[in-house]
Amino acid sequence: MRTVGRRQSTPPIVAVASADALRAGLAVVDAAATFGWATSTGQRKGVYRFSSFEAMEEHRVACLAQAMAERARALSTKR
Amino acid sequence: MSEASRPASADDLKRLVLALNASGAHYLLVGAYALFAHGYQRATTDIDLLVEASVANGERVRQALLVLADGSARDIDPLWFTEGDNIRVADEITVDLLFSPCAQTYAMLKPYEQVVDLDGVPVHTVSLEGLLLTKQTQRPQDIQDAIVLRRAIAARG
Repeated sequence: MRTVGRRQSTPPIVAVASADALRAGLAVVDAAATFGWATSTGQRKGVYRFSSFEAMEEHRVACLAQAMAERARALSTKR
Repeated sequence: MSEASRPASADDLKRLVLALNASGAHYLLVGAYALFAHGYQRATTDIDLLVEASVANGERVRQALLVLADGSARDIDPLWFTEGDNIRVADEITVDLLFSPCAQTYAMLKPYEQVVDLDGVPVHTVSLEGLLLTKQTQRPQDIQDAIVLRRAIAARG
């Protein structure tokens, strides 16, 4: 890899958890919300129980995909 | 009020952790938000907590989750904390309560605990090694996370 110009290297993974690193990650999440990129998980409010991690993950993915589809439909209707 | 939860923000995490600490809940922050604390940024929508599997802790966690606006946690039965099923609390944000991700319990990961002071709020999370132990699945995201974690551990020496 060659670094050109004034580009700074990527911040390293830190050996010990730090507040600065956590803040940086949280800032990314907050930015996504600010720009309206991520507004819904698609998960209807309530409490769910899952007998396996796989089932829990399937629920997350299915809800997210449904929310994305609804968003896409809403955007296409606006045009 | 929206029918679905939204991705968690920095303020949500702080508010939740404050409530967990105040209730004396036994928890460890794992998942993507824990990766953030180690400098690994990737997309996520929910907060993952590894929690101690006991009725008493179920009471404490339930109490803490009532800080969320929609009160979904009212439906949690603390007895569930001894039954092993993972619990998803979809409130204004989603919080996943895990009891043994990759067969790792709270007691097993407690030795890997690291505490981050986030603007005066102690956040209980785990080390790189602790996180890696929770990533031994076939989920593509976990495979990718494990690759990065292994390389970070190796590079640290």
